[in-house]
Amino acid sequence: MFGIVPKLQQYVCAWNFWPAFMKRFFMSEKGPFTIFFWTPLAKWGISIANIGDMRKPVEQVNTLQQCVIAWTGLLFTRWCFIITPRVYSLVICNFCMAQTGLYQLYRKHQQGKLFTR
Amino acid sequence: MASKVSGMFWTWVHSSTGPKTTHFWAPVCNWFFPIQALYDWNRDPAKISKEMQCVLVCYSSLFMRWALRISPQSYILFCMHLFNATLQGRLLIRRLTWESTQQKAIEDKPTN
Repeated sequence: MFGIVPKLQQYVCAWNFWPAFMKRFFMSEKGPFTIFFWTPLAKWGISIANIGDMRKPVEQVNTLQQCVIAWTGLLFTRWCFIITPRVYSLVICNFCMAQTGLYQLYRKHQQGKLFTR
Repeated sequence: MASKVSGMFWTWVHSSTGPKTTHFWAPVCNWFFPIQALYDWNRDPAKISKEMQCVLVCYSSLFMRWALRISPQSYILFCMHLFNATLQGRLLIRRLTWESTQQKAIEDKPTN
């Protein structure tokens, strides 16, 4: 928007000690100076946060939120197979998101607190 | 006129990105995130997960940018993530405010 990131990209790529493959990575259209690199990491963050929340008591787990995470994960796993190009890393990411959501719901169900807020 | 509209509707229903396909329902189910945040408007702050709320705010902020950088741009996805970032951020602030009042209560508690 303000041209900050392209300037930062040029500044970083101008350093001479980067090997050629690193410079290609930095300059690529899906590299770390583009949004396409960071969005899958954000989706992984949801799975990681859910794994971290597994050690918390089940009263702190939000049933509706986990339902949404599980359902979105499952549907996007299917969606990743029907779009072009097929990105398997995104398939795995969405699948893990769904699994962590389902496991949290299972934890709540085990303690009979699935329908308590 | 009515038959033209009806024809357009059924064409859309049977299209490759219509409601009989995942292409339609996957973005629709994304809307459940802000709907969940609205449902939890008055959720007890003790039961809000700070880490999950942080992640959801970051996730939606990044996807707001992504929705405008993909081709074709998706303004509906942008709006959805804008609402989600705002509403999940509200829950995060609710939790952080509660934590700071809890901390203050502990500090102000007279020691015997």
